[in-house]
Amino acid sequence: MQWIATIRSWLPPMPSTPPRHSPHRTTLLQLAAIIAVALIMHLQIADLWIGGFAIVVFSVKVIALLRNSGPPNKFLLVLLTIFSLGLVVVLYGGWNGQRAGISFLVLLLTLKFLESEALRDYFVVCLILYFLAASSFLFDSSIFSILIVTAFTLAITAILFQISNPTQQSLGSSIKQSTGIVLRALPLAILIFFLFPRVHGSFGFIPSLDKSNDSGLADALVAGEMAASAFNQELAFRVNFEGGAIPARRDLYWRVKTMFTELNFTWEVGKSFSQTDLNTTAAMQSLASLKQSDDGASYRYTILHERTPDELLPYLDFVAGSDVGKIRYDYSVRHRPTGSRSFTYQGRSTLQPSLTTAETPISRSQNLNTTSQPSARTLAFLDEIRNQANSDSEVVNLVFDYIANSQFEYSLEPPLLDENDPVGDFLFNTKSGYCEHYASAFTLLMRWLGVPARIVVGYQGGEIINAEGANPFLELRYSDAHAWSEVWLNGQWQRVDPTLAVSSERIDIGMRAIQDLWDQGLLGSGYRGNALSDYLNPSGSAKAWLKFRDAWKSAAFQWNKWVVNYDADTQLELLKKLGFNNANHLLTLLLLLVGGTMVLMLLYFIRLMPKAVHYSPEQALYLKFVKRFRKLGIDKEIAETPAEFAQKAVNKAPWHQADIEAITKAYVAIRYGGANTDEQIDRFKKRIQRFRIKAS
Amino acid sequence: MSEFSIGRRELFILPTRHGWYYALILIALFGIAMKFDNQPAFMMLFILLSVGLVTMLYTHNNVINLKIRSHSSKAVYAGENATFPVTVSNPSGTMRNAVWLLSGGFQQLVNLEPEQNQTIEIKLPTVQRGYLLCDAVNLTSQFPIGLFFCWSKRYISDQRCLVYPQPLDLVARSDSDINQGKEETNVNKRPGNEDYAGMKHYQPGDRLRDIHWPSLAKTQKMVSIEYEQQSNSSQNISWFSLPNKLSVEDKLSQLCFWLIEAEKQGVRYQLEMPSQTQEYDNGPAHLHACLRTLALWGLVDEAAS
Repeated sequence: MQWIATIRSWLPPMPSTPPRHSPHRTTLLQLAAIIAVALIMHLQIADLWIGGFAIVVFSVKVIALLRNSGPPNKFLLVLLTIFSLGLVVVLYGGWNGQRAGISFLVLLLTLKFLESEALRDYFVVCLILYFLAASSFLFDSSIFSILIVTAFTLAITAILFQISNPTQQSLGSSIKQSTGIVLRALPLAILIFFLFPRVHGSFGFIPSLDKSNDSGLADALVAGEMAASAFNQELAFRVNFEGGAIPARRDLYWRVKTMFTELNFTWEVGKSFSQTDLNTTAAMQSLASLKQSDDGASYRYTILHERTPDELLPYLDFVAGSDVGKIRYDYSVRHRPTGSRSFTYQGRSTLQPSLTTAETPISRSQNLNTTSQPSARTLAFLDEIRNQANSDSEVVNLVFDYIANSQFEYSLEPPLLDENDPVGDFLFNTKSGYCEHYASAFTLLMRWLGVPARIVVGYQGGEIINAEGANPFLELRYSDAHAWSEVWLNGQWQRVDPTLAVSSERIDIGMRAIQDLWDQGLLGSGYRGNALSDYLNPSGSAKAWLKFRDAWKSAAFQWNKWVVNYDADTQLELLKKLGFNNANHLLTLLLLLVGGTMVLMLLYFIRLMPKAVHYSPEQALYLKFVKRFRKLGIDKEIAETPAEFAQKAVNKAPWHQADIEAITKAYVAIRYGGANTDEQIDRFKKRIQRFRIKAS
Repeated sequence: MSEFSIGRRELFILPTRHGWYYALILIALFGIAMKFDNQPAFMMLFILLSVGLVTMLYTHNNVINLKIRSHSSKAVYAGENATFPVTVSNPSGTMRNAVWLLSGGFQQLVNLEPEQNQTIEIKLPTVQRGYLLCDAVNLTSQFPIGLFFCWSKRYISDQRCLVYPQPLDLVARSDSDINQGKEETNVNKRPGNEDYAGMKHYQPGDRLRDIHWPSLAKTQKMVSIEYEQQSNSSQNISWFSLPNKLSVEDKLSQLCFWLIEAEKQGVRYQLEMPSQTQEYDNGPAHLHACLRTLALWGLVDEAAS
């Protein structure tokens, strides 16, 4: 411990430690209230057992506080600690994972609170609370959570304020003080947040993630199983188009994956690629670029994707460039999943495929292969089509027309299909379903008819938020998931969306509208009536509500863009916006960070510096007069009135009696008697200037 | 007497133990935020970091520009607490909270409204006679949330408290010692003849049995009974009358006791010491002069100053 002594010798002499004090009971009860709120908020994250146990421990402490008794004995505490550790291990099988971590923190908090006795213990409880508040962000990063966490920080700071003050502070004053502190800390925190250098990629850690029930698009498509996601209102991603120009609704097809393997009426994402596909992939990647094409016919956009375990990312059809992942032969883009958090990426798309040409070969067999066989009635239908059509494109048109003109119905709750002949049952019997049914049936028909075809799964449409505002963006939910077909015609893959033949509203208005109408029981055979037009032209109050909703969604969008998904790229963008274009942006960041922090701290330092009391001119003059008496050892105490001081001075220096009395009288007249014209003050000033102090 | 203003160069600041814990939490939070690459966790980290930085300013500004002014202190008898009055004043328009004034083992919490001042009597124990200097005075504060503590440079005031010897009645006084002076001759010697003369405020050195305890209970003020010595006798309190077996300190204590007795009796008395003599007189000033002689006996340096 030699070095401690060495360091001590450099420091100015330190004072002895001031006496310790114990925290006040009212403060502790307030702390208990905050812990109670924290427990309730974490109940949904932690396991029920953990939550229950924590509540029991917490209640014991509160009862002890109310009855003014000390902490329970050590043996019981050790027992409780072992039990709670066991609980975590049994429930989560170890320490890894966020849920186990949070549970551990919750238990630590309540046990430490139970055990606390001295000031230091309660201080540690407050620190654990800070930590718990921060780690709740691992589960919820919405704009609401930051408000809650800020409120928490404020409350904990107020408790710390009360605890560390030996005299008891009222709740009001402690909240006022802590608000002052947090409000001053916020600008500083925002500055550091944006300027603290972010680095590309992860830091070699492997995030230990819990298996979550994150939504995503399944890798297999069975007709009738995607309906669950149709009611999943969770946000999938948001899109911000460069320049604010959003393509027409009918062009808003967001491709995630293609499925070309058919097995017993089930479609799957292919796992094996032919050499042709690999060649195509290589050729496309060499062409892909984010740069705006010369003819300006492409869209550039930024996507803020919510967290997903999926490897394939949505891009507007047809992708022409992207900043993450690799473009593949089927225009899907694959990346390394980020897992725990939402992320941002950029893309450029053209409405027509631009990376492939008519010469690009495909593996025909792969896109014609079927394992399921058509039933007898389907075979009859296929024969009929074959007889009428002369070319592949006529085949496509005939089938499309059949679906369009045969009273097919769009339904979110279609009847179940006959397992042995789902296609036939759907085509000739139920005639009711949603995108999946249409896409899979259509694609299968195409393959049976010898036209290479595949299914594309992704999203369609989306909701335009803030359409008239400055920064419109598109919001896509899992319910916007869509499936459509692609057929190989004239050396190109061409999109055919059979759903369009049935329900153009799905495409033109969007899934959201379909669902709202569905919920109101208005969707069905007669849904082309008033309900739809009412929906599209909302009344005044509904419009105001929509406007409010748009504003809120815009705020959430900006929050996600600038805080939740803030990364090295966004930081670079910010630097460019601020006008810093130098190559060494790390240095720029560090300089800005240090400089900005220092300027802000200096500003606070000056603002918070205790100010000297401001004196009026006559006060300043009078104080100058008083100060002269110091030479004679006569000093004015702060509590003394001018009359009292005059008395004292006359007693000690009677030779100045006349001056003292005259000046005091004039001063009192100016300051309290209202005789404060400029002329009088001037005379007073001259009088004081004339006054000379004498020793005797 | 002297004044000490705490400017920026007189003020130091460091994190407290709790402050270091806080730093540990921040480091742990940084690890979590990095591991999960969670930007809101970064935000929270920076908020907490900024709270730390801002409270540092609060702590610093809670003590800066305070003034300490010392006042002269009254003499006390050894064994009593020496008091050093100091005034802590807040010349600014900002409230100062929870500032500790520390001096030796003495601690006092100070809360100052704008432009307010507070006089504190620093009480320090005395163990020996002579001049006692006030221990260095520090102001220290952990306001507002105890993450930092700042402390002022040691203020060593020019105050000194004269500590008289402890009055002790160790040897009986032979009658011959009384009225032994050269000038003053035996007039009417009436030892122990004390007549009640009235009540007066308690003064240090008054005998315990003279304290009027009932008034203390009633008025919370120490009042002692004053006796009038009808005699115009005089006493010679002499170093040479003390037996040699007593140590120097015991001798001084005994002389001190006799001086107090004599003053109380209202007689004229003189103090005879080997090198100097305080001539016959009485009254508080004379008592003080005599006691001062005793207090500084043998402490050449301090007596000269």
